[in-house]
Amino acid sequence: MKKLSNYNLIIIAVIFCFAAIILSTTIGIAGISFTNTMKILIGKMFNINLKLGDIKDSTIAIVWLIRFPRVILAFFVGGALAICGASYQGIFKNPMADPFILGVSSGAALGATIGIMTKLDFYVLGLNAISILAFIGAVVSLFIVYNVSKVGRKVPVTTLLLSGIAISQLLSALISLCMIFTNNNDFQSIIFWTMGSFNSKSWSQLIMVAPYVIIGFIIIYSSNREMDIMLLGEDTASQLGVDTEKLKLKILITTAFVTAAAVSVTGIIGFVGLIIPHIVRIITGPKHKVLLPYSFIVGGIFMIVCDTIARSIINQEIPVGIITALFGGPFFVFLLKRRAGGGI
Amino acid sequence: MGKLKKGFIIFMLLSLVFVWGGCSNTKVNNANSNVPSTTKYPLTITDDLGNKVTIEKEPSKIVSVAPSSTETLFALGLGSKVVGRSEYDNYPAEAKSITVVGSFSGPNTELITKLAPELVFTVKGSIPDETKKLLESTGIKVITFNPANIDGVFLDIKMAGEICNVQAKAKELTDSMQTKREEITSKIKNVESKKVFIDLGKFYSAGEGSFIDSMLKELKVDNIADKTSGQWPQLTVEQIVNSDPEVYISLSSSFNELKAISGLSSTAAFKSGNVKVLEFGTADNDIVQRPGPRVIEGLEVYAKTIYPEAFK
Repeated sequence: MKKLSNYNLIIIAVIFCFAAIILSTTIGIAGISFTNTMKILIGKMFNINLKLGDIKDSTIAIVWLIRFPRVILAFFVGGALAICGASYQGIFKNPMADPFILGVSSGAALGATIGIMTKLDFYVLGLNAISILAFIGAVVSLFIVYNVSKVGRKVPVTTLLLSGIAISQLLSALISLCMIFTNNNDFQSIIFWTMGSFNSKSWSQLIMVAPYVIIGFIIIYSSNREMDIMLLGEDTASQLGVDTEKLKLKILITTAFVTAAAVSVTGIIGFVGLIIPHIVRIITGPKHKVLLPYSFIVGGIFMIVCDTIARSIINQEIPVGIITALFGGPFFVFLLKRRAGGGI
Repeated sequence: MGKLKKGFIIFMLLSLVFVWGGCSNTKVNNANSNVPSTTKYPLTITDDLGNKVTIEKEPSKIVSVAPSSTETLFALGLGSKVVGRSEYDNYPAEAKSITVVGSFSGPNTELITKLAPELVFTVKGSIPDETKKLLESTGIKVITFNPANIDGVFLDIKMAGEICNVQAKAKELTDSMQTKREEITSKIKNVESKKVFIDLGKFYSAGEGSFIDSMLKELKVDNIADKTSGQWPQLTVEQIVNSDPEVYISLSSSFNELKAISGLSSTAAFKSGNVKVLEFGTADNDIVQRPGPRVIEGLEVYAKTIYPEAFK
């Protein structure tokens, strides 16, 4: 679709995102009227006193401290996972690639496990010890995978994928081993942590994640043409003048930090990073200049929708990973069938 | 027959009916709940899962795979007969020296079989079915408890008493527990029901049908988690803030962790400082969840935390 690189369309899409965020903030278990929600949002955002006096404290807290930051965070995390998935699918030329394929999720989970077991209780910039250790775990695991795969000065893509699987399994086994030696309380905490969730996430988590995601997006987007050429294969790309090793390193480090930021705050939410790029690619085609921004937007909105369902549909919190799989799966199959024989 | 004699006979017949009716056990179980006596073996009882178990003779060796049944056995004076326990059985102090046969959910069949007990006491959810069948095939009987509320705990204690031929001690124990229970409920007779949230960790709570919920209902508590389906629902922070509990009891997260959650501070509980943390590993944390002999003390912890004004 040639028109998609049209800037006007991107602006419309961005406006659509804002609308989705605002609309989701009006939805929730605590039935709060649309007008009240808008009053609170506008009042707090622009620091105007719009007669908030007759609205209960708890209602203001729900809209401004609970729903609004949670929805925005869902947008950023969904978008982050989608562009990381799209990047990996591009440079690995592998449609099964998702952001966690190189052991990042296991590394984060191991970091969190250590944090939970050692009961360290420090806070840095509003983030607790568990999140920070998860972040470090994610980055360190990618570092290990990268170095294990190095053959001389090169890091072949297949070796990266295989080492990623191996290290991922090893780390998962270590986590299971740790869990044997924990008490019941810690055991439960670890299980809860790995099940991705946006419950109780608020401004401090958003402020931590957003910079990584925004900067990460800019860095990845700046390489969009080289990533297109990588689709022809490493050797061909190399012959065409792309410094494939430098590109791989750049993308791996950036996605590592972006994914680590997301996972350390929300736990592991699967499916989004794998499926959203494919869905977007069916509509936009494989050019990364278009694929990346639209993956971010679609991933973000998809996550908002799933999280809104997860927190509002029944009287309990449903782990959001269940919703992403339940919706994403069938929708993807539907799109594949529609494309009647068109491969990925 | 004279009218008086007829009346007298009818009166006797009626009294017989009433006395007989009053003596019969209308509750689910097997134990004859009003006359403690010596147990006659072989004894067939129905455990809380509906399994019929025949106990051939008075047991001399028992393995207990649950903290609550370990406490019950010791409270009935049968501590010397307990040859194995699960990892988290931490009360009474004498229990610590007993061989550990595995964790609550993963009992080690080899260890249990090696100890050669006649009986294994456990609670629902602890021993998986295949393990149970394996143990039973070696001749070990497994008795599963699953009390839904404090009355259920009393029945279980009496069942244990009957099985081990200490019925008098069981009745003594449950009677004193009942006295204490009535003391507590009478103290809170006139309080206004309060809204309470029990945080078991990451906002999982005790819903309708759970044991903790039954304890709260006895104290006229409005448990904000019982509007959901299921016994262990996880609540969203939005729901908690919307329900606005007056008392917040945390059985896992520390106060610092809770303070860091934006939004919770607008609830009545946080505003009035009625946030109680029962740290994991402490006695209070154990007794408010354990359906054993100390359950009334647990009830008291809830009552004093939620209605301190009634205990001045």
